[in-house]
Amino acid sequence: MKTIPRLVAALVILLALAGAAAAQGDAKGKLQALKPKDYPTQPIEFVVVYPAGGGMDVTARLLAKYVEKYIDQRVIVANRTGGAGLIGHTYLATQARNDGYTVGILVNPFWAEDELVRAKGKWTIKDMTPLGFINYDPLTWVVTTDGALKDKSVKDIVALAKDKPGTVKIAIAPDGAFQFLAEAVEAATGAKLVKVPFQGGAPGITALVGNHVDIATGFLAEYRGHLDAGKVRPVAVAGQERSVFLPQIPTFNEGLGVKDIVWTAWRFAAVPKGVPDDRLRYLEAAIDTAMHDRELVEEYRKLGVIAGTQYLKGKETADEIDRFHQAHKEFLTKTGRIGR
Amino acid sequence: MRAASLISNATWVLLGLAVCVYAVRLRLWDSAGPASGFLPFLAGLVVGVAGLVLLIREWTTRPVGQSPPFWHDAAGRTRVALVIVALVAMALLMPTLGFLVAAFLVMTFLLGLTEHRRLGSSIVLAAASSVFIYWLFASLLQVRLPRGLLGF
Amino acid sequence: MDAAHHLISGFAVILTPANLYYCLLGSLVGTLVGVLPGIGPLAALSLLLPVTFNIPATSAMVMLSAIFYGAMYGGSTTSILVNIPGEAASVVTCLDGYQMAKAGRAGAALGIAAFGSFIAGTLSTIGLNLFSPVLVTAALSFGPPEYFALMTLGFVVTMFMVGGSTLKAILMIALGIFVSTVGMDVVNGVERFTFGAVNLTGGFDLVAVIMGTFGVSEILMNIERLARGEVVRGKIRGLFPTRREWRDSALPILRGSGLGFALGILPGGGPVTASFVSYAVERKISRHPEKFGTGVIEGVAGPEAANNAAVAGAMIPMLSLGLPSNAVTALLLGALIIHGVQPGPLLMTQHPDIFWGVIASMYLGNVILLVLNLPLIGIWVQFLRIPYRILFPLILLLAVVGTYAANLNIFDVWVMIGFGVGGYLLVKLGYELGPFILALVLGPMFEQTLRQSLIMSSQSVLIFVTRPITAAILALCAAVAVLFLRAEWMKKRESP
Repeated sequence: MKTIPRLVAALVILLALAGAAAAQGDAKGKLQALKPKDYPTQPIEFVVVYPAGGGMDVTARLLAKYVEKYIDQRVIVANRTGGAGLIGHTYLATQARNDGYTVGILVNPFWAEDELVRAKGKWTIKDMTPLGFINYDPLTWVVTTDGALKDKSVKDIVALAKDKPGTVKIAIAPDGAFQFLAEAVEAATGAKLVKVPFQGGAPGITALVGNHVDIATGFLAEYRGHLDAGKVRPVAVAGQERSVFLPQIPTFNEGLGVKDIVWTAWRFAAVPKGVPDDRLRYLEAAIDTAMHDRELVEEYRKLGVIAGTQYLKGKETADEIDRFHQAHKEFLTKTGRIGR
Repeated sequence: MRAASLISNATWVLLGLAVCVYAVRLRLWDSAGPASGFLPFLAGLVVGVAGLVLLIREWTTRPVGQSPPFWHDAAGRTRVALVIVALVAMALLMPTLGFLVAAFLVMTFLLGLTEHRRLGSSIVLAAASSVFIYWLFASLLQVRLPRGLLGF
Repeated sequence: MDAAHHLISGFAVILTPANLYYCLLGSLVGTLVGVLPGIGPLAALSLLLPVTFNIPATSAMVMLSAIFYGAMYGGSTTSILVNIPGEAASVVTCLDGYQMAKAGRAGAALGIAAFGSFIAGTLSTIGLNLFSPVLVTAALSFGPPEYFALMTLGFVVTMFMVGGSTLKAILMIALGIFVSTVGMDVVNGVERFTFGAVNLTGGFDLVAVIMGTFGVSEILMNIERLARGEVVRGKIRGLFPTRREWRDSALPILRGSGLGFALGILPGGGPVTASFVSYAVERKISRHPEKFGTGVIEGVAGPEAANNAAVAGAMIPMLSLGLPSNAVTALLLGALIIHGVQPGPLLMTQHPDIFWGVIASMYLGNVILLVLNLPLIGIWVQFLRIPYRILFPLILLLAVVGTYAANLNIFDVWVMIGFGVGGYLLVKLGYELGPFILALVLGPMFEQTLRQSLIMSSQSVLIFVTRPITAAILALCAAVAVLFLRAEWMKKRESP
């Protein structure tokens, strides 16, 4: 009599698979309806401004893989690196063609930062038209599980840095969100950290594991392997609310009793302004469809980035970006980085 | 050759000086230790001082006989200049005319350069190699070489 | 015995038709990419990454790793034949390899490069196999101060690779350091010497500089002198190394393997530094250092072994800890992540098939590459018979495309031309380009680690003497420097 539950299970699975395939076919069909004539006839290029293999690159490649599934055309990822993203940003905002074959995969706050501090009037964020939100990743602080800070909460660490300034070493990437997070904590609590600069999160994690620094700044994806192995432990998350992957870890706001320490990598897709409307709609829909694919959301979750919690189309994404740009501008002005 | 040495050594001195001045403006030291200008300053200093020593040495040594000319012969110099022109042309033309056309033109020029062969064989060779390299990089290795006005 | 047991299971994983195919494919592509000037394993890997999406993770890693070390085999080919490094790690091979080719001994140089690469690759894979855990712990104890000491050692050791005027070499090193500071300061984001040019914010692209300084300048030199004729003066004498050359190469290969392996493990080390240091060491140890630069086999054997061994070294932190030592291993890690495999300390236990499969494939890959490259030597040598006036436009074209392919930025081609003309003029004026390139490569890390160390210690220089490893390496630097100065002093005393 055990065969009946088994049969039912098999049937359910079959139905689910069929349903998924149908849904996919359905989504594809809807997308087909929006397809402009004679576009796309050649591969579409996703431009990533950071080196291959990094978090941004992986996000873009996964998205490309799933968009390909729905549009029957290849999507290639091209890395245009240099100047911590500035070269790629400048290329996208000033040189890339707006024929719909070039899409930039960008991330705030680094995008707003470059425009406000480094673009020097050569381009503005309005030179790119957003297509949709992809995922986000809050910055975190991690310590080793066998070092001096192994049992301390973020509050304890900050207290330590305040009592004994210049003894707590933290790895940061200079002149960007990593550094701003540390500075924000210092400003809010009076602590004094020794901010050791590294080229990105990964070298900082390496230094942490080797016990050359006490804290490292980074995204979950960068140290997940070590977390699983029990070698490191995050102490705080710089998000609005706790990360679904780290439910036990408090946010900086919770841990320190403040309200505005939020630094996350907020990733989105955009095209150079001036892309013809029909192509714009099609790309927007393609990315939206891909983002609704459960498999893609699952792959992002495996990475440790937060996706599938909200879906923003072009206009909403643009509004978010504007809001962010404003807030970041205020931050930079407040800390004296840009003049009045 | 002596003239060339003197000019180059003088250039080092000037370069070293310019770098040092710029570096000082970048700040040599700050609260975090050596600042952006620290290492460039040291490098500029060494370049300038080494250049100065070489300059003085060259100036004060009496040349033994005639020093060898800098360029082997005028023909050699012309060839070098023409190759440089060809390279510059390639860099200028590639974005607008696309790889294939620019390569073909420049290759033909270079092939005809060193020996005035029949134009025919140069053109064929230039065409063949341009196409082959295009295939190798664009098709096989999937590199996005620039396309010209004609779409290839 | 655990290691052997695991290794056998690794072989079981890769000795399937599919994985063998991927290993072969990766080796082929790697060799091709290594031979082609300008485009290197990083570019090839990022271009071919999508191809791996639909194949299992193990096969993907096998293929991608094969491209990485395959490129080290192919890189020496153009260095030896036409003085254009196929790869930054093959720059040093140009110094003596090309001279050997000009003397008709290209076959021997290519042969020793291939065999040296094979021996080094195999030995270092054995090292990877057996000593990973120990080595990785050692590698982790290297922090910024230790790296600074290592960079200093690199500079000091380079003095030994200089043949001509020491003062001119020092000038070249200073020039290289200056050029390396052009761009954004990585420690605080300040722009240096960019004068508003966006393309310079990342500094000069290393590939473009190398292609220009070595490749284009060499072509200009040749064009000035030879109007006709081939690269090789005189007959091409024999395709294989003589017994004497084998004997002379044996120890350099072993030394190069050790050096490369050690330097490859350390982040930021990598094949490039390994090849330079190996060359300098071989020159210092040699009984006839003055012959270096004229076509000595040791100058090819050591560096070529070193750059191959460095690949295995670089794989250690990647496989054991999930930490990248250079851009290529960072990309390999990204590939793992895309395939849903979490790199990190648990990779060995959670995915033993990937871990041991990749190691096993490295043994196999080295054999495949040797078998692949040897017959090709005969073909490559024939290339030298092509009249130069037909060969050089082809080389120039390849150089331009290779340089452009790296970043798809035409600015890099301009950089190549600029450094080409500059390099040509410098050689004519009697300067050596090796020290310049070394300073360019080591400069950024040297500066970064110095400043990081001083930030860590709150500006106290004591950090360089209180940390044991740092102190030891710096003491070694001092000893080497003293040795060098003494040798110079003796030289000055001998000649009036």
